[in-house]
Amino acid sequence: MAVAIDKRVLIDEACSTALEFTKLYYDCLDKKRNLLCKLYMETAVLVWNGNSVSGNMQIQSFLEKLPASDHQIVSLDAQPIHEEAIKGQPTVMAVVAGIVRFEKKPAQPFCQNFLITAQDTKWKVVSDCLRFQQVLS
Amino acid sequence: MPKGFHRGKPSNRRTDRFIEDSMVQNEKVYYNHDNRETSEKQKFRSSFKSGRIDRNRSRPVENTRLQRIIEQQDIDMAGSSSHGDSHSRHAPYSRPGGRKSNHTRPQQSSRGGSSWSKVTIPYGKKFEKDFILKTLLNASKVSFIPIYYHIEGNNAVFFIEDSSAAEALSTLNKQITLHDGFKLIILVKWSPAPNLPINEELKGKIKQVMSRRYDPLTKTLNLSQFHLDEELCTDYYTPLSRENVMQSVMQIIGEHIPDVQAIDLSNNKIYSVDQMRPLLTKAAFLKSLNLGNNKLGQITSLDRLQGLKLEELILNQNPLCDRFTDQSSYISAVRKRFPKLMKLDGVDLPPVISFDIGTEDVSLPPSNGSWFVSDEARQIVLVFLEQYLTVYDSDDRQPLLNAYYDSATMSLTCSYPPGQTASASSRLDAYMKDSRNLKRVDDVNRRYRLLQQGKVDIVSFLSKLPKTLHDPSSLVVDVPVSSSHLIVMSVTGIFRERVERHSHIRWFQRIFVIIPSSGGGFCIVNEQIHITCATPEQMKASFKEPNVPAAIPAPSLASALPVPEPQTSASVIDPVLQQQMVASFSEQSGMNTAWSLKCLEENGWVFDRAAFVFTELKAANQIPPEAFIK
Repeated sequence: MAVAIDKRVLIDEACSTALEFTKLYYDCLDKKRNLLCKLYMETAVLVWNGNSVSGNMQIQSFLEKLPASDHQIVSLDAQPIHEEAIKGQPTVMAVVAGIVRFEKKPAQPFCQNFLITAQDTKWKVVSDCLRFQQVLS
Repeated sequence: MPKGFHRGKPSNRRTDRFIEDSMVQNEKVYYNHDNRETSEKQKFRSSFKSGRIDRNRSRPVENTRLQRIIEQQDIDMAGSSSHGDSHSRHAPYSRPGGRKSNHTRPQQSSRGGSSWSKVTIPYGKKFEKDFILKTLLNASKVSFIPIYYHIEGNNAVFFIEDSSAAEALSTLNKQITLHDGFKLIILVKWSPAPNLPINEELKGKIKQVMSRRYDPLTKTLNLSQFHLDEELCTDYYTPLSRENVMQSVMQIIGEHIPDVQAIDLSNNKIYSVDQMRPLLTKAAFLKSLNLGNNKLGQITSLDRLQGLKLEELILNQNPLCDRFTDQSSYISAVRKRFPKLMKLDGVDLPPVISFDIGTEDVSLPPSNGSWFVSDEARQIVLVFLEQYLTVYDSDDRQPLLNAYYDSATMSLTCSYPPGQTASASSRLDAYMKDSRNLKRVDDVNRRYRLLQQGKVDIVSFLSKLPKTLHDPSSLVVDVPVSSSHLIVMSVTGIFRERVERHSHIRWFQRIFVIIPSSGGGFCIVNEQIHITCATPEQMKASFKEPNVPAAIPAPSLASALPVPEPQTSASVIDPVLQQQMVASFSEQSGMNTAWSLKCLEENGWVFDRAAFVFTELKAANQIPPEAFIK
């Protein structure tokens, strides 16, 4: 029984972490990009439409160069990563779908997923993977 | 450039022969400014004499020149789309009393007078088209361009746009004796312009002509004088001034040459740019537009094209130009609509003075294809996906049990494109009730229930989802994380629901976390799927190559899924195959045969697992140097 309750708590916590994270993340991305590096692990990896950037400072500087944005989140889901894969380090996988309006660009649907891991007492993004809903030529 | 087609009001025309003659004498003065045109006309003259049908320049020299001259005398050109002009000049033939022809026409006051004439050859059906047209062209004093030649009953019918040619043709009635002794009857009547619907055949023809007129090197599409194109005009009438023609042309641009950079739409009598609006979305790279010598009346009409990033625009010889009293207000009005314009009517514009902020490059980084953190991860992930999706797309998803860890978790979300309500044809009903969208599902217990836990639950859940067929060429795979513990892979792509009656096209994102499994290969511990409707562009682009095998290369040797059968058979695979695997492994890893054999043996002869382990150990510097001595 105890295991089952633990699991419920874990799953519930993953959901609230993801909800809080996405709120913070997209707020930073749209309004306070200078803070973005704080959300990523030092060795984090961003794969943005096939362009990869690693390192939290590099990721921030990549994202800062994007035109001004406005993200609207339509769907969010999250689950805790299986303990077999993470060896005791709490990690949450979050999947986001929404639409982004970049300055002077038409609205663009996108999907994004994050791996967020607990580093000491802070949640940090391990990997961030984004794709526009588009036809790649 | 057949400027002579374009006329002002037909009334108040000065028709004295004296004036005409004096103009002929002055012809050089008026004409010299365009040498190119002179040479074109001379070219025409020779072709006319030889009786060849040169449809693109088949107006007689004298006539065209005269018309040009008279036009330049004519101040009242703007705003009118009529061209009932030259009749007045042919007063000796067409005025009452002097009439010899059967050429009937309505009062000129009606609608400003169209210059179209319909030519009917009774019983023309029995002759070849070429025969009739050649005979007429040879006999006529004035050359003409036959348009929309077709058969009506027993008659051959075609149209001509040039009234002087109509006059000339009408004088030929019963003048030509055919081989059988009959005289050719030629009935010429005033007529509205021909109107023919665009069917698939005509659209195909238009596409063909556009393809010929497109230069892929310079990405330039030349649609000048489109309806007079040799391939089109005889059998059809396809003026770009007509909505349905322009719509088809825009559609073809969007579908076939979205990267077009320059379009020449000059000399088409276009009076509205409304039908060109698709260029805003379908021709993102369009930089140069030639709308010269059309019928655009107001600068404000160009508002409809605002947003095009034009660097070069030609608008001259449109009525709208005459509404500006000075050049600078003209330039300023055009620039207001196309701020990036650098050249107007062939003249470089002075650079715009602007602020440093707001004009910087706001372009997004271009999207690239799949991305893998390492080659080894690529190998493993591609084999894994290939096998997974093959089973997933089959009629029985039960074998997927082998792909999941015992206590794996999996969940699904779906959403409609934002701001778009579900149309009946694209409803996501099959997924909506299971969608674990945390934005909508607040209840903790429901969130828990919607998370599928354990491989049995997961596979039975997956088995209930609509059967699918993935489009291999649409799959994009990103692998941001790969370590000895886990690999995270994110897949986006298109699948079709294999449901009877309708087969919806969906776009999905699917994230798998896989770990090495104890029995060799890899298995899934976490999975999330997001499903939404495909965009119209995605639908168009999807399933284009049904016969091409999966875009994912499938190394033939190994199985990434811990499927039992291949495992057992792998342990007893024949020595020849083992030797091949060792050789191949040695080549790829750089290790010698003995160590390659050792590595393969220890990994149950699963090639990719061995490769994965090798990479991890090598990265950790745990492989002794002697392993690489060959």
